[in-house]
Amino acid sequence: MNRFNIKTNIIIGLISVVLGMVFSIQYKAVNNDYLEGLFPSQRAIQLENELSGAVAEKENLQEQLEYYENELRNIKESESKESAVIKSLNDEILKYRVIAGFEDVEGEGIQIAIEDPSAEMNYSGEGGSVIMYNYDLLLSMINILNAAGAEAISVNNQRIIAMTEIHLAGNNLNINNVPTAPPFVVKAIGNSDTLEAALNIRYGIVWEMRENYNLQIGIKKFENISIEKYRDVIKFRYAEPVK
Amino acid sequence: MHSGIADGLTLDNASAEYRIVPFKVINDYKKVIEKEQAEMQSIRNLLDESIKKIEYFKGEQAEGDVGKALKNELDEYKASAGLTALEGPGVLVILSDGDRELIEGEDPNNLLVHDIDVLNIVNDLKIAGAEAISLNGQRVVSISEINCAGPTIKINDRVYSQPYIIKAIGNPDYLRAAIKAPGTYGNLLKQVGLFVEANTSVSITVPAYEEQIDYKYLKVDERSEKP
Repeated sequence: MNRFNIKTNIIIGLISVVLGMVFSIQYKAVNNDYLEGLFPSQRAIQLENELSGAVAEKENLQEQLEYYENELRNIKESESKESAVIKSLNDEILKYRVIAGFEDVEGEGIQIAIEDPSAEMNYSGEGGSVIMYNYDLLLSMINILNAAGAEAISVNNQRIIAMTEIHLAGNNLNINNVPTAPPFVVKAIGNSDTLEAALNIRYGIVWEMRENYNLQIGIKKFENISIEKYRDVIKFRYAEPVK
Repeated sequence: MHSGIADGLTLDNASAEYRIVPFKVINDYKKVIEKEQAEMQSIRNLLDESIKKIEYFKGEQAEGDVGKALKNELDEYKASAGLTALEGPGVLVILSDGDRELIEGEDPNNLLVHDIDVLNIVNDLKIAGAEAISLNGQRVVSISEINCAGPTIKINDRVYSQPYIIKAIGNPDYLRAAIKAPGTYGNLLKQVGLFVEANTSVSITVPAYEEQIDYKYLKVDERSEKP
């Protein structure tokens, strides 16, 4: 009875050890191979085709859009020539389009490039993006730029408008519902000295991003920087003007 | 048997289509495709909008009333910019410092509301589809800065004291969930000990942005085409 028990225990013990090793090897393999695993290149070729199809379709749509926008512009301009009232209305519309973010703009400003820590400084683990998971650093940076008088801001060419959200969805960081990925390029129009100083202040946002997150930050001042317009339609489903 | 498998692998590798690529390449492709598709959807929205507008303008042109069509357009852009007071269903969020006793040796900062807390809550409301947001009666627009300094908060260059009252118009259930659901930032703050409350309402009013906007540095990019 006793002998039997010891033998069984030893066997169970051995099996446990082997199983444990198998688990740990498996776990390590899965962990390491995320983003390093292998796929047949056929899949890559399929995706390449899918991508070029999407790019062609987008260009085609963009051309159509330009055609119709042109037509609309012609209608408005022909009316503007005939009436001063219409002309002043058109000027007013342009003013509010600029404020809402529907126009490409340019002016003095700065550009901030934010890159994930270099491989040897990245303690976050397997292939994760530090800046994506800590996207509230971007919220904070935008807020500081606004406090320093920024007149327009974009992140990876997504214009920051009143309704812009930054949303970590799975493996993507969505801005204005468009997936973006590092490196992040933040552009801001305003007094470039003030904007830069607000970011570079001692123990400020850039210091925090460098020291606490090991992010790589580069700031450049520009006499003239372009910021793209917001490219979508704003439709209110719930909100109505107060009567 | 072993050589059989080896032969199979060599054969596979010999033909170009069966070469092997890292998962990262596949992943990068997928990300770019998702981005292209999202941008395509936006262009489609703009296209539909343009076509609708052309019909509307042609209709008004025939009746000799382009002015009316332009005034409508003006109102739309004003609303998009945050320069119109809006009302609709939504949520009212109240946020203030926690009033529980500190645990011995605990940093009092844990119980205070910081800029980043308000920024995260506002961002979460936008993710949940908020169409208009105000903070202590000031409209949150693209150039609004939120600055919490001790007992006060500064937004749009005006100073307010606690509590922080955030109003948002949108689907009330989504907005409430964005603050109260487990795992959200709002819920986390509540667990730490701050005061966080979110109540839905059938009618929330969000005021217009009141400050004068005068651009000193920004110019319209003349190279771009304007509708």
